[in-house]
Amino acid sequence: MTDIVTITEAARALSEGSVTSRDLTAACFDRIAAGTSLGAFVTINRDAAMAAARAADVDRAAGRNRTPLQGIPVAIKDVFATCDAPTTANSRAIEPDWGAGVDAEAVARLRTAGAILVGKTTTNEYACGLPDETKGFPVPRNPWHLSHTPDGSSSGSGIAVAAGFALGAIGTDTGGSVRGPAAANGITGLKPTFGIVSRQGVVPLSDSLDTVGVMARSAGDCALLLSVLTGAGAPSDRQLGALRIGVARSGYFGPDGLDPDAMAAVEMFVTALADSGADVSAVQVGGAALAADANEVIVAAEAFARHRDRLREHWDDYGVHTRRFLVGGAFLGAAEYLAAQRFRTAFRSEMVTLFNDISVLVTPSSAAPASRLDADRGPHADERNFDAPWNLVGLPAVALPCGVHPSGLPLSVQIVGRPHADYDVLAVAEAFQARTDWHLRLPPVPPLEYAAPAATSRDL
Amino acid sequence: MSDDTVVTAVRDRLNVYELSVPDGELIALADAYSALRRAAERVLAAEPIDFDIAVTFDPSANR
Repeated sequence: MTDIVTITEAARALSEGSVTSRDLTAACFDRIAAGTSLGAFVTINRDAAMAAARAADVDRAAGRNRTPLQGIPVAIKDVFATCDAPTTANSRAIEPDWGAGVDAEAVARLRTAGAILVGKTTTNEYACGLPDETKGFPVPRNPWHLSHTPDGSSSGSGIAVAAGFALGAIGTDTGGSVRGPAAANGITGLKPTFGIVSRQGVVPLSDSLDTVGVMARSAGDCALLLSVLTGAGAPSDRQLGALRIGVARSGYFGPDGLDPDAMAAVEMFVTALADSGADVSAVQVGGAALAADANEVIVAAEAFARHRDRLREHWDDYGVHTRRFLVGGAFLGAAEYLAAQRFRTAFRSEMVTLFNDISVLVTPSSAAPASRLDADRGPHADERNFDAPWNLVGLPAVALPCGVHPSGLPLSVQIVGRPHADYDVLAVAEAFQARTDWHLRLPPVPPLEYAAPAATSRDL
Repeated sequence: MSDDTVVTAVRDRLNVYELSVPDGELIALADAYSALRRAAERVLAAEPIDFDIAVTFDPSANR
């Protein structure tokens, strides 16, 4: 079995001929078979994937090298239409033939690039609810601790990358649904600048917030995935210039803020960047909590507008958590929705001004590691959202692992950039990952037969 | 508002959309209703909000 865990490493090995796409893909399916308890997949495409891997190997042998993703196994959140598998959004309420026979634009770009689609991953229902065991879909579990959540809504994509079921994955992020699972599962996840990746063929939730994102072990891998999805190509030189980092402690750190270990991990991340020569300063992100509120209001209103008729006709088909979330918009009026949009405009203006003085903003990804599956995680549970403000203003944001909690669960930090600075935030993450190995750690489930990195992080 | 008042408000609002929800689920919906209303009211009460700024639905406008 191959011990390759990153796309970058796999692409190099493929080009050197030391591994084949069939090897990589077969290894992923071996791990999938060993890790069914994680509930990562709704659909697995073993035959089609192995056929595509063989074709990729033939192409490479014939000198037809397309992209660094050629022959790389990737996983697709089950809200993207795929021509060879149903799209369920993990819902019994969706039209049975939703997206049948076509690929979403993002999926089509991955196929054209030569990526191998191993399967479609578990999502919270319609990318907003919570797992509902009564509906017959897999209940996703955290590969670092089975009694904890992998977070959502791109749960299966996060699990798949962490557990080695795929080397990369795509998801969607409306209020943290890529970054949350990335943080919970100890991998890297980017929510790009709003609008730079096509949403065509993606089950919608919130029209003004939904963003297609990428998930992989490393920021470099995320850059490769992003370049394929945008079609623009990654900058060949992502060297950072003079780096000015703003650290948002106020409102996040302190006795009522983060879990102490989560706070220490973020501070270690900041110290590592400062030691690399970055200029670090504390900044205030006024209104971040209100921005999360505004995001919640907008999602509720827009999601209800999408689901109003279907809720009327299929109430019992929706999972109990999903329908309680989706119906929330019924309790809002135009005034509340427009106030949230107005606040959005003001907050965006404030944030653009902030980025006049800094290159990137650093915040925690979450207040604490992944919660237990049996904790109250229902709609509007009292759980602060550090991700949603950046959906509200459409800025690129990446979550990456920066430590391990005493419980054994991963800890994560978030880097936010100015509009269209997607590769800059990834470059900052890469700079950290070049000196640490948190992103290469392997979870205990499934039991892995390939070599794990050293148990302790290298010195910073 | 009392729980009964909230439940009544929830039921009345759902009736606007012809959504028929079992009585047993109304209490849970009332909890969601209250939390969302609190978020909405915090946004409504936020100061200062520049009312001269035109509402835009395109986050890419800040390029």
